[in-house]
Amino acid sequence: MISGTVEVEKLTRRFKVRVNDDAKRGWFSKKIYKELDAVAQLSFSIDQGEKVAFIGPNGAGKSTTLKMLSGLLMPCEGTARVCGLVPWDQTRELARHIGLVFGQKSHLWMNLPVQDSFDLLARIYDLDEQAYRRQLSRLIELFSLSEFLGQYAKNLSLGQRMRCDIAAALLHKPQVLFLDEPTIGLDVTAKSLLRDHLNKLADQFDTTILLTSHDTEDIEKICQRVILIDHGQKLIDTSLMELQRRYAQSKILRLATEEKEPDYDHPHVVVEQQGDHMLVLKVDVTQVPIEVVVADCLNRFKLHDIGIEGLPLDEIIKMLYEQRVCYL
Amino acid sequence: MNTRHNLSVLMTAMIMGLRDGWSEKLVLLGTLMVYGVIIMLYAGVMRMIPPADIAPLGLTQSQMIWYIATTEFILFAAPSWGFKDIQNEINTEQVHLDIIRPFSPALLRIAFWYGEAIVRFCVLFPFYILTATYFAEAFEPSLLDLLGIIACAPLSLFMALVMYYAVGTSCLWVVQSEPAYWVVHKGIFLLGAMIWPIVFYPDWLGAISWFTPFPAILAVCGKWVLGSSALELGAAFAHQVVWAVLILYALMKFERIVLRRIQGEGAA
Repeated sequence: MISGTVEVEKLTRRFKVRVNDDAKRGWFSKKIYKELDAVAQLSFSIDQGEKVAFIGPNGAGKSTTLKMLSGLLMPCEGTARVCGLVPWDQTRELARHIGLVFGQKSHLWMNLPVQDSFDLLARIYDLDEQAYRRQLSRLIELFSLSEFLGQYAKNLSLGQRMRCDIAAALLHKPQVLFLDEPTIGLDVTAKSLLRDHLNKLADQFDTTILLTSHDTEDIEKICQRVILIDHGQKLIDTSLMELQRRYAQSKILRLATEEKEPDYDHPHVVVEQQGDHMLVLKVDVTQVPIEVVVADCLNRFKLHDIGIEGLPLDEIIKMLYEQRVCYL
Repeated sequence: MNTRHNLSVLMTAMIMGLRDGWSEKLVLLGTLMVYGVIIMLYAGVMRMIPPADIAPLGLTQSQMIWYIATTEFILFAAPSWGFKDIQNEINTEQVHLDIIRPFSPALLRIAFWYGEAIVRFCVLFPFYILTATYFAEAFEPSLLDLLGIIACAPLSLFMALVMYYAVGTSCLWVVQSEPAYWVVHKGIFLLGAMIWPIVFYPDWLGAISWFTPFPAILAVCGKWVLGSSALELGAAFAHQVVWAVLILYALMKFERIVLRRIQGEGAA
């Protein structure tokens, strides 16, 4: 059994970008290119069964890395092994061990019923008939697909298509699953269902997941670890909990008060929301401990309820993108 | 991956292509109509050639019409527009999902198209017989000739589809695949269909055409309706088999080049 590990060592990928465009260029003048590092000296490793979020702003190099790890792009420098195989040299062998879900692309043949696409994929992956039927019925149950099987893929809604697509990517029980924006375009319910299903599946089959998404809820609900990259370089590689603990420089304090119009004034506390019998404060915990503010509020107001929340993950990520914080 | 696996995937893809081809009833109807109109026009042109002019070549107007009807029949049976799907998949990077599967994306696609081609062949065949008989005012081929056409058609369709696949991937090197399609399509017709019965070309062009795969696609099938000798037909079939093997080999090599191109440059 091949283990679902991912090892990346100094992976670098450059792209040539045209500087002068054809419209302005003369017929015989030379095309001028410059080289851009999409991924630069990127190193990390992922153990079997780990669920890792690979995040970064637009153009950070996430998709390029994912493409290299699935064998779709060749690096300029560095090495990588996925399930012990070199992706760009052993693309077909690796295909048996990985699953790929791109939010914008589909495994399904649009002019065929979904069941036909599944049958064809089973042949392509050379699955044993009984094992395929077992896995398919499991996936049908998990993703509630039974009503779509006879429908043409082109007639499915985006949410239905995504569920079918993820099932298609999992038919051959991949050890590693690459997910690139898997919930893009889905409604709240469909997103939630998809995340639950992915978690169940990953736990059931000990599948390694590498996820890129701009939706922080995907990250929070699926992943335990976060790798943040920007300009092709790794900035942070830590557990999700550690990220939230270490980089949440603010906390949100929600107060329900006896007083009709409560107000609060402190140099390191911002009033986020103020209303009848309620107050929401954002506390800069790097400047003032949260317990000091809580004690102060207990003194000032007659409290009915109090709640302390960490900063939402998307706020933390936004802050990290803005500050390009280096994790040391 | 072994032969059993290969055959099982190709058969499944072909059956799906059959279903897809059959489901496109309007496309089939449109094909029949266009085919009928084209044969009508060609028949008119052939009728303009004085019989005395082609008699020295051992040909009659009726044979010419049957020849053109046969070659057009094969051309119409092979769905040529698939190259646009390939181009579109490359430009949208949908091709990525085809690449990372443990099976040749080219063979898979060609098998699917082949299924469609079989449907089109079966639907067109009776129409081809009727149209050619009507416009030629004679039933030229014998039953054996028709069986010969049916026997040669599988390799003809295969080679045409491989070319359309290659045309689709040409957008990895040039901006659009359409110019390559135009060249191949005209090559198939001008070097592949026109060369045998009409010796209008200069000798050197006729000789060159034999070193291209184009005659193996259309002319080999067309030759059956020209009253050719067994030796000529045998040579034509051998020519077709050789080119089919070469094209299959070239496809496998070409697929590797396409993969390396995508891996090197990115698809879009």
